[in-house]
Amino acid sequence: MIHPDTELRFVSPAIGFGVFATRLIPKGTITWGLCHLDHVLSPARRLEFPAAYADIILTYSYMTTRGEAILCWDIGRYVNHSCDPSSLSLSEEMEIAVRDILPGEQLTDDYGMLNIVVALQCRCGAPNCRGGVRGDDVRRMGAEWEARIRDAFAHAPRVPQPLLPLLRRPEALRDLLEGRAALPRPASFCASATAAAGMGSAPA
Amino acid sequence: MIHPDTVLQFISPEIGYGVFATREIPMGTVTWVHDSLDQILTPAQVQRMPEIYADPLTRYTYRTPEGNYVLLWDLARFMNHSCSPNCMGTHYGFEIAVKDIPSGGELTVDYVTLYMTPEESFDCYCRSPGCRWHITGDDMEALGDQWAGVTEAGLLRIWEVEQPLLHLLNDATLQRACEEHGVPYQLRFRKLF
Repeated sequence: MIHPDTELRFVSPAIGFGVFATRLIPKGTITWGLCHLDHVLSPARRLEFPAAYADIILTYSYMTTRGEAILCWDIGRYVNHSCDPSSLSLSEEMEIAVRDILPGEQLTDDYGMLNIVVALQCRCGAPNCRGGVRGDDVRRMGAEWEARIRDAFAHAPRVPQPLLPLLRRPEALRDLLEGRAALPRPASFCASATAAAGMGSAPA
Repeated sequence: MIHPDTVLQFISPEIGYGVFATREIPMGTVTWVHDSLDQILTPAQVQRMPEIYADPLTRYTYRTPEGNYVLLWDLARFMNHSCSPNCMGTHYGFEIAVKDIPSGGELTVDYVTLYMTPEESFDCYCRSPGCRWHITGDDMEALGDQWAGVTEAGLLRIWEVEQPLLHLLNDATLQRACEEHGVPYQLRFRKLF
């Protein structure tokens, strides 16, 4: 589920819709977490769908390293990519705000962390825009992502976490917040491009 | 799943979003089919869910005759109510266009056909001819025959128009829907002879 202080807005015909903050979302807040209403579609389940669904599932879901497609049940599916995103993936089941997200600001994440199957062009306009997003971006970006997540997570115990009770595995976040578990390294949940393509491709 | 020739568009802060046709969708076209990505929740499940889900579950679900909540997974959840709707629900998990919907036209449905309980009600701002202003679950008693006739008129065109969603409906379901509305299912095979 996406953070409750957000809404859907139309960005432009080229980009489509995006998700925007309606109130301040402080750095360190979990901005999205896998909840019980999100769809977890295994490769076998995806094969049951008629062809008309393949494109939709590919567009609106992200992939786990186990090859599941996660289709957000809510406007979480409209979060856009930025090379200078306001959130990064804390694990396969959570996103974290890596800076204060001001009211009216768009929530973005880095699709390079989402095991994308097909490389995408990027025109996000950020000064550090990579020009494209690839399934194996973790090889180049992993250390930087890890540092930013670590910095943001230091704030996590001190900011409101409205999504905590809704998570499928709230104990995973509690363990992190209370220091019982170490932050997962991006390389552990961002597969390389070849691995992601093999496991995560949508049915033709 | 909603008809593929549709997009989400913002209407106003009061109404929010609606679903609009990107090409003409002729009368008789199946505009929505229930599928396995729509999640069915029992009233007990809904009651146990945290408060934060209450608003989206009210907005984005419809009720089955058994009282379960069906959480629509795609744009279909943004379809607005109209007292003069261009789509009609059936008891068989699909909706059908009962008017020609022009390109750019909004797809609407009368929420009273979505099994509102007698206690449920809301104010309507559609202001179409015949707007009932205040919609209650009881409206179905007065409107049932009228909407059944309108649905029948749509079903009579079902084999005459392009049907991108029809392959998602199983034949037996469609046959039962036709029979309920007195539409000869055999019309399907007319083109063969």
